[in-house]
Amino acid sequence: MIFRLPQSSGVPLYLQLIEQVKHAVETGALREGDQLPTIRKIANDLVVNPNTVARAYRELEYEGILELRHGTGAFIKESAGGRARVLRNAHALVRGAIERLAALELTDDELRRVLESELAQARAGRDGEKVAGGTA
Amino acid sequence: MFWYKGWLETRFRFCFALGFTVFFLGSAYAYGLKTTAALHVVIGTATVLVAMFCGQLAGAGIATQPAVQATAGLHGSTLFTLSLPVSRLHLLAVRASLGWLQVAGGIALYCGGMWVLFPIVRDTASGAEMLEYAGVLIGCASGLLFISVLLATFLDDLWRMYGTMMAFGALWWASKRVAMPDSVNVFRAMGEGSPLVAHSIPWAALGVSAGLAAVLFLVSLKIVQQREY
Amino acid sequence: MNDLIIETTGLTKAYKGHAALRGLDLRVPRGSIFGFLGRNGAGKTTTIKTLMGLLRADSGTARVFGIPVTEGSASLGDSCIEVRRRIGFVTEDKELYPYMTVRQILRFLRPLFPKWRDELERRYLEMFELPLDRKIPNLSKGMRSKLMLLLAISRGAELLILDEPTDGLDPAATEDVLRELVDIAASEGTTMFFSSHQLAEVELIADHIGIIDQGRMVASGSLDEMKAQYQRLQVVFEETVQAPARWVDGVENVRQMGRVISILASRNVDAIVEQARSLPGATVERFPVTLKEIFMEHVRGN
Repeated sequence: MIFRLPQSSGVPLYLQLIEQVKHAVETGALREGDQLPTIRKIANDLVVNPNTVARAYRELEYEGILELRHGTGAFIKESAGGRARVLRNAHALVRGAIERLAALELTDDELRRVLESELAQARAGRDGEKVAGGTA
Repeated sequence: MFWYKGWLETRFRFCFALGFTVFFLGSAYAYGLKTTAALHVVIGTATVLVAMFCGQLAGAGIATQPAVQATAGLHGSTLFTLSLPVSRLHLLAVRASLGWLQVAGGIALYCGGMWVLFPIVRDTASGAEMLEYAGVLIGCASGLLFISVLLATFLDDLWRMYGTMMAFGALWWASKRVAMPDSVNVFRAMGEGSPLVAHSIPWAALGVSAGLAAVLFLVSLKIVQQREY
Repeated sequence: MNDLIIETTGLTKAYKGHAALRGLDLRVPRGSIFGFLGRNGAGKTTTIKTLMGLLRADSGTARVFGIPVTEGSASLGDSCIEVRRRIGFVTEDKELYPYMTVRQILRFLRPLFPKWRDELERRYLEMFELPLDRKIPNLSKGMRSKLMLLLAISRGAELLILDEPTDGLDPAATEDVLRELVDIAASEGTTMFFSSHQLAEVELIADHIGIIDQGRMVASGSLDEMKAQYQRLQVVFEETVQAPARWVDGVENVRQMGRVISILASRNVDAIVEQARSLPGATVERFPVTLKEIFMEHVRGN
């Protein structure tokens, strides 16, 4: 897999790398058992801190997407494929929603903001319920 | 390894000093040194050469570049030198010793050249006396050299050279004006008091010079160790 | 086992007539690439000189590899010769001896460092295409920076102190230098402490940062954590309102333009969001904050 240069934005670099791997798994660019480059190779290619790459790999391992085999490298876990299928289904659902929204003639940015805002509200709602549940 | 650095730093200056000596010997040879005042020429020139050698060849091993290359707040290569894993005593001692050896080399060339080139010098002084004379010059130069070393602890090369020449001139003038026993007069020891003229070794003046060198070295060391570059 | 390679507490230093350091607390973890940021004259070079034992601190302590570098010997710098043996240093002006060639400076330095790595020296000579017999003043600024980096790396240093290693380099040379720094960090685990004005490059290669302003550390820690803590909140109201005079702890800066309030939060973001949301008719959005914003917030207006 070829990583893209992370952007100097507010998003931590390791999160950007994680997103790239997840995206590649979802689109099928990375399949079960595929090997990822070594930490040193990625750090060198992208000119980023090796600790950042290592952290992204650790998080991906923790999330069950990568398997780190000591000395041999990092591989896409078999179970990651199943998750990818779930996500592909989600893609289909979202695609349908977007098609239905087409009538409103929203720009991409507007759509993205609506989605993010709704996500934030939903998250707040969940957190609120949790707090409420805790005090009840 | 600081010997190596010091040598690379000073070799052209040293060669220039030797070249100047050879040039002087050559022109004296071309014009001929026949007068009865030959010894005065030898002695007078020796004093000038010692002043030049001391001014040119000394150093403290820390700041070497002229200040123009080190803009405000920066220090050229000084910071790099100080960041190396050696003591400041080491930096100073190696560089001062190297300067001393080069001054000694210049004096040896001058005295040897005089002895070889001019029969009139050989007639007036024995080989042993010429050797003693060279030793006395080196001894007397030591005290003066360390004035230059001291100046090198806070001046760059160019100003150190001017400063040494001025200090040398001031001391020479003072040695004529201030009342002191002839035996401790370092300038006299290089001239009338030298083995060539007085036919004896001016031990007292040599002692004064060595003492001066030691004191100046210790002062330089203190400065180098205390100074924040 | 101390996991801090550099640790200073309350370091103060008046230097050249002004208070250069005013109680500096600096902690550089082992194996990190630490970006040391600050405006010109904030005290970066004074800090570096103090760490190498070239300046005497007025008060406070500084340890490098756990060895105190601010106390002990009466002679400046002699107490930490051992420390300097384990440090590779790239100076701000990249000045080296003008009378030496590349070959000669290598010959001069090699014996001073018992852990000198011939294979690294060969590798970098080749990679940087440094002409062995060229005199140092005849090298371009990029080449001199690379030579200094080579001298710092080849000595087998455990800590590299780099004072603006890419300053004045063209983009290609900058990329070369940064790539080798990253590679050495990955292969040797070398700790790096570097100052820079290029926030974009710091953001890519540093994992820890410290922002120094007027001789004090005004922000420091893991870059990822800092980015997680710092957020910009945009609060949009249905009609113009009076912003609250008192905000929860953690609000660094509030700006209002009509119905919109922009808040920079340095910590406690959830509580701040809660407070904003409790205002009548407010919608709150969160945005990530770049290193540049964090930097500007801390050094501006002081």
